[in-house]
Amino acid sequence: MIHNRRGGAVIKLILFLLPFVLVFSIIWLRSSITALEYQLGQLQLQKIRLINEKSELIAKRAELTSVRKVEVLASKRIGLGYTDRTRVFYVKEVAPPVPYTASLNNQER
Amino acid sequence: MNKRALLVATIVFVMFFVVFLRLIDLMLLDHEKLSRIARIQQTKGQEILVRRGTIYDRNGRELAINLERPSLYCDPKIITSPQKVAYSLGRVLKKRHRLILKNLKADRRFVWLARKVKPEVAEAVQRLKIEGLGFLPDTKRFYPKGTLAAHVLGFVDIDNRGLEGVEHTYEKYLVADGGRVYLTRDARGNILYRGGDYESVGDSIVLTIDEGLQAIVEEELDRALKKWQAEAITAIMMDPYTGEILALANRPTFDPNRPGRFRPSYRRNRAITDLYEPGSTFKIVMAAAALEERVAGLNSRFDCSEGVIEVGGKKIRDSHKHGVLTLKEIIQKSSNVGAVKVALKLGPERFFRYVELFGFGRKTGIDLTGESPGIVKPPREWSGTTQGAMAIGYEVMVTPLQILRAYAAVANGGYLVRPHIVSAVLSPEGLIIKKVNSTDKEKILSSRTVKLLKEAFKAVVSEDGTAAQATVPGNTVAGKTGTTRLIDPKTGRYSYKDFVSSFVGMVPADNPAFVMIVVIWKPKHKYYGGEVAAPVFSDIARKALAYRYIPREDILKKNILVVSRGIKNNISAVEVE
Repeated sequence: MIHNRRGGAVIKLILFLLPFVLVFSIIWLRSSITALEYQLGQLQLQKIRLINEKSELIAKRAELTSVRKVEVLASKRIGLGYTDRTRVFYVKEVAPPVPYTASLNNQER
Repeated sequence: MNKRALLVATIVFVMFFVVFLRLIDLMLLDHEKLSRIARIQQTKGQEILVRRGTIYDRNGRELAINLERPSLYCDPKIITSPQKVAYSLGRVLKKRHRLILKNLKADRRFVWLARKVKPEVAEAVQRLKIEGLGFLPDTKRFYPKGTLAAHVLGFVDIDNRGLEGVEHTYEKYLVADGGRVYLTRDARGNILYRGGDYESVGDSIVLTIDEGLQAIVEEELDRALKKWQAEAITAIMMDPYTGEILALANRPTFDPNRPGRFRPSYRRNRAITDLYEPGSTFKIVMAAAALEERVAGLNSRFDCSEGVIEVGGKKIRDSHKHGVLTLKEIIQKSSNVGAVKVALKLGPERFFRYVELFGFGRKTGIDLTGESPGIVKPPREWSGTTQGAMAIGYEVMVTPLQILRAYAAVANGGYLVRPHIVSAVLSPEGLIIKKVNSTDKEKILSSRTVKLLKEAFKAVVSEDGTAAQATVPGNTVAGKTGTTRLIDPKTGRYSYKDFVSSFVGMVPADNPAFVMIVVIWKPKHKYYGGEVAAPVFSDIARKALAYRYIPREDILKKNILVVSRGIKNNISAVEVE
């Protein structure tokens, strides 16, 4: 009987706390989700910022590696020029058989 | 329970009951209305940032890209002191405050104040914290190489719509769908992620153009423009086997980053839009027809000793008297009299069939806007002079590209190719979604004719030919010069001072790496194609061959050092000059 009384009290206590636990669990879950959404939102904004930065950097790289610009720098500052083709001889490279490699040409959608 | 406790309990209960009632009111009775207001407060509609696809050269170098440049707008109804705002903005945007003020006082709820501003300017405007101003995400098309390949790339308008060149032709691939995305935000404006993309990107385009070759061509055109003080110059370099355009340039040119600052004539792609009478470069039709129809062989002789011939009551002259010439010499020395004699022997129908076979009078099909088909009269519309005139490249209007394509047929063994500027379309993920077919070609000349024509065109670029200055050390060049008078608009007759000088050729002659045409409109001081255009061809070809590591032919004839990978000194013979 004593055992039953105690058991009943525990069950009563659990039943009393259960709604609170459930409510708080739901609130905790939802707030966690919201916190995650905030983080993801921030990451998304960061991603956009990085993409923009990337395109700025690509633009700068493209400008700096312009063949014209490089040629002007090479010829005027370093004194380089096109090869004198009358003073060049060519070395032919005969490549040995190579193992099969995956081709990037088969990427068609 | 004492009275006081009961009172407190009752107050607490009543208060909770009031709260409970209010909750019922908010959550059940007014739910619809309040949730609608909450949605409006918490969600923010934002235009999806639409980025045009990138344009690359054949080696993957960027020729056209996008930069994020937000656009500034205002709601004039919210602006409280327009005068003050106009002054503040004027300083930041570096614009006249009157212009800004006019927009700030507009009777609308949305007015653009500045389009595509730099990020630092946008930040400066945001720091002003002016109510009623806002930014919308926007992109600016940027051409990092400046004027390079401007006529190929074309340009876009303020709303990023392609207006010319590849930007226009491939608009449907380059643009992506826009629309709006709705973001959830809190009271402080922090954004909560709800999925979806904030931007959409169009497909990218890979051109057949090689930035290096393009730069070489443009540099030489600039030099030639200065040297000959010409009105305009065009040069096109093409792979004769595939029709891939390796370089295409015009002078004068424009900067696609600021197209509005240049005259429309500077933006015109003369290589495909401008018609001209090709002169002696058109003799390819006469020669090919004569050889293919076996009306004459390379060694057939024609009397050109009088230096003049009358056709339809008009006299066609040579620059000087030549004597008796073979067909090969007629081409080599560019004899007009000889060419007319051969054409008359062919007859109008047979001659015209070859004009059509070479594709004159119809578009080449290049994937650029504004291509002209040229003007070719069918034999029924010919006057007495037409056949004689057409034999030497008059009374026919062509584009530089059409002439180049005709010579490419000789270079590649007799096939008429379709010139094209785009090799592939890539999805934003980098997958090939369209590959341009380079095998679209039609056999128009026999191998025998091609061989004989090449021999004749090689003779042109020799000491006795008209284009001795087109030679390239170490490699044989085959080609043809052209010099034509322009019509004087004042008199309506052929001018004695305005000419079009041209040279079209292939190098190395026996196994051409490229065919190229150089056309110079109204050069000063000199005007013969061999003196004006041929040296430009030579200068470009010399650099282009070095750029593409194409060996000298005289070295190829000798035994050269052969090195196998991984095996040392596998030498058959070494002979170095």
